[in-house]
Amino acid sequence: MPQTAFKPSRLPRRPKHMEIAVRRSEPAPVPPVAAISNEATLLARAARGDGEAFAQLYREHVGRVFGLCLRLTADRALAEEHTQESFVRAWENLGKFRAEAAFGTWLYRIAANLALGGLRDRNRRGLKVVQGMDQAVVEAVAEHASPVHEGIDLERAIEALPPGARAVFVLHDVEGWQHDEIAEQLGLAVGTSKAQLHRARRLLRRRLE
Amino acid sequence: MIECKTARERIDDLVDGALDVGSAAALTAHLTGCADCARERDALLDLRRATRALPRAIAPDRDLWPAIARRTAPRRRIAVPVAVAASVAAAFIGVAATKLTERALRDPAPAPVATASMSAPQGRALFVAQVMRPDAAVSPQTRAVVEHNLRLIQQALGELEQAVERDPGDANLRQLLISIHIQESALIEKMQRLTVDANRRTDI
Repeated sequence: MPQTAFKPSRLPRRPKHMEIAVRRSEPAPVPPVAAISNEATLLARAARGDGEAFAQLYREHVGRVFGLCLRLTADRALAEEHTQESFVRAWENLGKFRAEAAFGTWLYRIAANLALGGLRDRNRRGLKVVQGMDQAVVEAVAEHASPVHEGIDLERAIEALPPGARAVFVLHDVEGWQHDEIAEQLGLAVGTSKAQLHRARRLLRRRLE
Repeated sequence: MIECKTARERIDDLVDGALDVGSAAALTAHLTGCADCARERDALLDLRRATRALPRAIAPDRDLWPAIARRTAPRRRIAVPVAVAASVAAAFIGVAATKLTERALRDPAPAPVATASMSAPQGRALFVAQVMRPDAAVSPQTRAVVEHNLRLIQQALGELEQAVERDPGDANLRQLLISIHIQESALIEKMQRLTVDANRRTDI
C-alpha cells in the first residue's frame, strides 16, 4: 500500500482555545492502588535478590525502556544494548531506590542517561548517528500507530532531526519531561532546551507539510 | 499590542501552558485577529496531538531478559532502605523480636518459613498463622506487642490506600504507600528469620 504524507488536516479538530484549556487540566495517568501495591511487593522482593520478581518488573517496563532508547539512538542494536544495561544498572542499584519517584520514572532516567551518553560517545568518535537511519523505529511503530501512515511519517521525521533537537523533542514531547529536567540531563541551559524544542517542532512541521 | 514576530516566539510556550495568565491573554488576543499566527498555533497543536498518539512502548524484536538474567546472577542480597516506617520498624523488631528470641519458642514442630518469593500479604498471613496461633509458645506480652504492631501497619496501609483512592493524583501519597509496603515486607522477612532462629535454638 503506498504511503501518504502526514496531513494534519485529516485529524479530527476541536476549537483550538478549548484544546489548550483541556491540556492544562489533564491529570497525569495514575496507576490503580492494586497496581501500586503489586509493584511495591515486586520491588521489595527484587531488592532481596528475587530474580523472578525482577523479571516481572522487566516485563512491565521493557517496552517503555526500549522505546525511549530506540527513539534517542535510532539504532535497534544500540537500543537493545542500552535497554539491557538499564535493567542491569537498576538491579545493581535497587538498594538505593528510595521510592521518591515511581520505579518507572527512575528506570527511564537510567535508560535516557545511558542512551544519551552513548550518543555523546559516538559523536566524539565521529561515528554517524543520525543520517541514514535504519528502519528500526518505523517498522516498530507501524504495528501500533493509528492512523498508520501518520505515525510512520512522524517517526521518520523525528529520526531525521539533528541529535540535539531530537533528544529534546523526544524527552519533552514524547516522554513528558520538563525543560529543567532535560537541561540537567543534557547539561544545557533551560533556554537552550526550549530553543532546541522550538527548532525541532519547526523542522518537523516543515517536513510533514 | 503584540507583534507577529513576538507572537511566533511565544506560541510554543502558549501551547505548552508555560505562559503566565497575562501573557497568555495578550497572545490569545493577537491570535484572534491574526490568521497567520493562528495557523502557526494550529499546526503546533496538530503536531502535538500526533506526537501524543505515538506508542510510548515499543517491543524489542527478541527477549532481552536471558542476557539480563545472566548478568544479574548470582542473585545478591541488597539492603532495603529504611525510610518512612522506620519508627514502626524499630518498635516491631526491637520489642517483639527481642522477646521472641529471649523466650525461644518451645514448640518443636518445624514451622513453615516465609520466602522471599512470597508477596507481602502471603508472608504476613503465614507469619500471623505460625507466630500468633493460639497454641504457639509465645508469651502474652510478646503476643500483645506483635499484634499491636501488626495492627499499626495494617491501619497505616488501609488509611493510605483509602487516601490514594480519594486523591489518586497525589504522588507523595502513592510513594508513601509503596514505601510502607516495602518496609512491611522487610519486617515480615526479618521476623520470620528471628522466629526460625528461636526454634533452632530450642531444638538444640
